[in-house]
Amino acid sequence: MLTLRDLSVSLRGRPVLRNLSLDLAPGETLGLVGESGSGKSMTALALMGLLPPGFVASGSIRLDGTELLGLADADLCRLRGRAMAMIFQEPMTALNPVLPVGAQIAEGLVLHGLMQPRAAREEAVRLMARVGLPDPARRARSYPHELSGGQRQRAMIAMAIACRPSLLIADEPTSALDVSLQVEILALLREIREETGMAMIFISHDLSVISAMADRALVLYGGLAMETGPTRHVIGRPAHPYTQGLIAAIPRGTAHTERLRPIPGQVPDLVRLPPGCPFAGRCALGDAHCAEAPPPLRTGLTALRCHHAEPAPA
Amino acid sequence: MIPILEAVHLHQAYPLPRQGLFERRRRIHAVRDVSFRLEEGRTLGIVGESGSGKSTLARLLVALEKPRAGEVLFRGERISGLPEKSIRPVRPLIQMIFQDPFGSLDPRMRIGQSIAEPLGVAEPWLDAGETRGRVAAMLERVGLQPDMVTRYPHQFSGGQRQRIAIARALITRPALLVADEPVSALDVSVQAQILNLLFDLKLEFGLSMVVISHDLAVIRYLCDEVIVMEGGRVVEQAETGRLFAAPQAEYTRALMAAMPLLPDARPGTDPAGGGISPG
Repeated sequence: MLTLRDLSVSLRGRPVLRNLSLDLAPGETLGLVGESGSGKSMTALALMGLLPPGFVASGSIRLDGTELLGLADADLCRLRGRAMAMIFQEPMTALNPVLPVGAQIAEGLVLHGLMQPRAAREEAVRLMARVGLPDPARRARSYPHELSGGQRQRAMIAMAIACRPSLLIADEPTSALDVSLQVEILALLREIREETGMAMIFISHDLSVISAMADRALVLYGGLAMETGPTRHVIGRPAHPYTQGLIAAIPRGTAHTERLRPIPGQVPDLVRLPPGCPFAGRCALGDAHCAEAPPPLRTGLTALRCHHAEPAPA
Repeated sequence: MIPILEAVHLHQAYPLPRQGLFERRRRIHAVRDVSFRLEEGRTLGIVGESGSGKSTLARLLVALEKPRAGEVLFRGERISGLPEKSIRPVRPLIQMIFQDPFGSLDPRMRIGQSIAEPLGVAEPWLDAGETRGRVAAMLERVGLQPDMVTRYPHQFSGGQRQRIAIARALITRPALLVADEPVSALDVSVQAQILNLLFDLKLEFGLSMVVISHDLAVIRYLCDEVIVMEGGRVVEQAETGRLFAAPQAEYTRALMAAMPLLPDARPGTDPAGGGISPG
């Protein structure tokens, strides 16, 4: 359904995302994991054709057979919201503050010629009930600022799924929410995925959220896919030194008995990446060669890019 | 032994905007009847979701706000509700760090100056050379190069800025450090560095600490005992081990059920199968 081949994004000739390839089937969820500056949001924006000015994408993005890269703006607009939709971490910046939420949810249905305005308004109320907003008929006339953070996130989900997109991109949708709300929103997204059979790209810095949502996980670092595979193998039996380091850095005991093993150094600046492996400077296995040559792809139980580590045998 | 910090029936409330001209002004009760004792050298965790009153409590504990009722005792002496002049001698002993170190560092001040600033108030008799020496040693202790003193905050990453904020907080050799969401804005790999640093410094300086976080994993990692807050009230208070093994309050159990966990990351198992190679 979605196929990425060697998707790269660069800013003034400097690569910020390098040769990303992946396939996604209907109903499947891919978890994109990465720290700040790893390129995960850049990947989402490239897919939606929403890269900020100055960023150039190359390679291939095929969605339901259509090549998205190089598509005219008008054609992309027809796909956005219809074939693919996106939800963001902070709904307040994605929702229009001066339009009632019901009208915003109905807007896409009318815009894409799926419904008449009247039917669309009714559908918006139905969608709002579906995402668990209380008293949807009244809430449809509310403005975004009148909703709580969790309710806004629900309204944005209703807006995103209104046109039944085949691909939903969720960029840190629960990172700004309290844990109890986070659990509810994740459950809602899982239910909707079952009902609609849409494919999902779920972006998060939080491995535990990814493990709750994604069939497969892809670990990004410095614009390069470090390791990918079934989520339980990536988290349970990671072979890439970065994935291992990331998991070892998560606190799970007490400092008195179980010290954390942090990854030394800092997350690199995307515009100052070495030509080779972006993790080279922080990696225990790294040497001079790592920083110079792009790491080769090795496949096993997981697929990884590393000069030294081998994946567990499949 | 006299506890380092004691809260006695603390209350705090803020007025809400008047609903009508003759309406009574209503109040939002941010902290309701909070009491606890923290012994020297121990770390207290305060957990709760947004709006539970944990940050208000923190500001009361370091005397940045005056409580509406109740008092805060530092080593047995009342520090709450006093005029600033009377609190000033204790201030260097009680320091605080925040979630966003960028907001707490003056962007126009070289970081060396920022770190030295509290020292000028606490130990005004130090000469320039002694001050420089203390700042350099502190920078080195938090894992930064002493020659970075001439740089500005924007020249550092988030993790480095939190190290600078920690250096500034510890330069006066405080007895109590209150950390409000100290690692929430940091990437996982950097978060672990700061957590280890805080724990090491606590042992080295004999610090008592109050750690506020919405992240139960961070609380369990750093704290000896925990207060769980909901709607301004303490709903549970226990030793960390006991709280995580057998939470009593309904709300604590709900929070723990909602706590995201890695499938193979329960204590006692090693998900990385030996993890990153030693060294």
